[in-house]
Amino acid sequence: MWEEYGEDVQFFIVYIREAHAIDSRSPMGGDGMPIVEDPISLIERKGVAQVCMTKLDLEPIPALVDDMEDTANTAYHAWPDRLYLVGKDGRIAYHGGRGPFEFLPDELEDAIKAALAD
Amino acid sequence: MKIRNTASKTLVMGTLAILAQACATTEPTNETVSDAGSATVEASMPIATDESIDTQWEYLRDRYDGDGDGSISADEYDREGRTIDGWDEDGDGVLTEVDFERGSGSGARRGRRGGMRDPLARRMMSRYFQNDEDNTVVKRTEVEQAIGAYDKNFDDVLVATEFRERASELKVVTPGDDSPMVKRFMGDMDPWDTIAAGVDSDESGELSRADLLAFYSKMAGDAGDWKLEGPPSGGQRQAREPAQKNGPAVGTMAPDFELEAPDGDQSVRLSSFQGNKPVALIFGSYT
Repeated sequence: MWEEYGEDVQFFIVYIREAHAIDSRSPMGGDGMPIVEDPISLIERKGVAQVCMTKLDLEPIPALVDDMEDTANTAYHAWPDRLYLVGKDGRIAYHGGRGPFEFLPDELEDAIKAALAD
Repeated sequence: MKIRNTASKTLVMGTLAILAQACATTEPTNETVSDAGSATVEASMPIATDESIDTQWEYLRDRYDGDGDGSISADEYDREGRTIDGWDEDGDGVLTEVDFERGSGSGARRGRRGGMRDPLARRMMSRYFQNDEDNTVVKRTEVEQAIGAYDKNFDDVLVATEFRERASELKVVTPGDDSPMVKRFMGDMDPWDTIAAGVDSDESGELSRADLLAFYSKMAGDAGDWKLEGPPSGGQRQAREPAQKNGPAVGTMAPDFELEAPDGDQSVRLSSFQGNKPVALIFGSYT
């Protein structure tokens, strides 16, 4: 999607609080899954985000790292994952459901198409 | 007697359940890891980047067991405001490999220590069977049916090619399925290899009905069912929360933020794109 619309739409991956850090309430990791501790500083969070971008081959897409106060996560109720489209007018054009079950890239794509058609 | 070779949801589900469980029970390698020499930025980050590290314990040991005595004391676990208590399963005040062992203790504990065991199964179920009313319990009959679903030549033995062909037809997880959800939970693991590693006890390269049922029986409770604690399905699933509790609604001004990129100090303000182009925000984390 980024390849198709990247020129007309600014994509950002916003790296927020880990969903399943091994020291979290729902730990996961090992046996092929990423093993991550919950970062305790912005430097750590950036470092983990960078590893994440590399390992998931997301590097071409610009990324931003949420601050340690979880400002963006809180404002957008984003955790654990969620999609938004902000229109050219600065208003929310698409508001995706809470991931992972309602993380629906197709909906985002439809919203992008609609936004670009305007 | 031949098992009917129909591809119903439950057939696939049973196999997926086996698959998911097999992933979680694959024995970790016992390779010793030494990355003392690599003082990269990544090495100092709280994330396992060395691919030979395969368990949470290996990761923690390599990172925190400074004196190499095979245990991590509260002092060694030097993370501001964090303690080792959550991992200290035996309550002896230090972390050792024992605290991360699986296969003993309560089911809840196994799930937690196994890390991905139940969650993986659950997520995979939800991916394929979100609306299946019966997605929380795997029954023996379903497992038997599932075996039949993959056993293309009805010889009661599954081999890799059979499994892969059938899995592809059934659109379950197949090699090359790179959907984000599968990628996230399977990594680079090959489904057949992970099943074989967990189930094929005699390492024959074939899975017999007996292999699979023996494996299943280990998971099953007294009633003979394997409970998955599946995701809320159908009517149980919660409706979306009201918009204001659920992030900014469509049509409202997007909350502004200014954040930095992972690899630099340059920050980006969301509102700087206003009047210029739409912005797609993809929120998420590594796990």
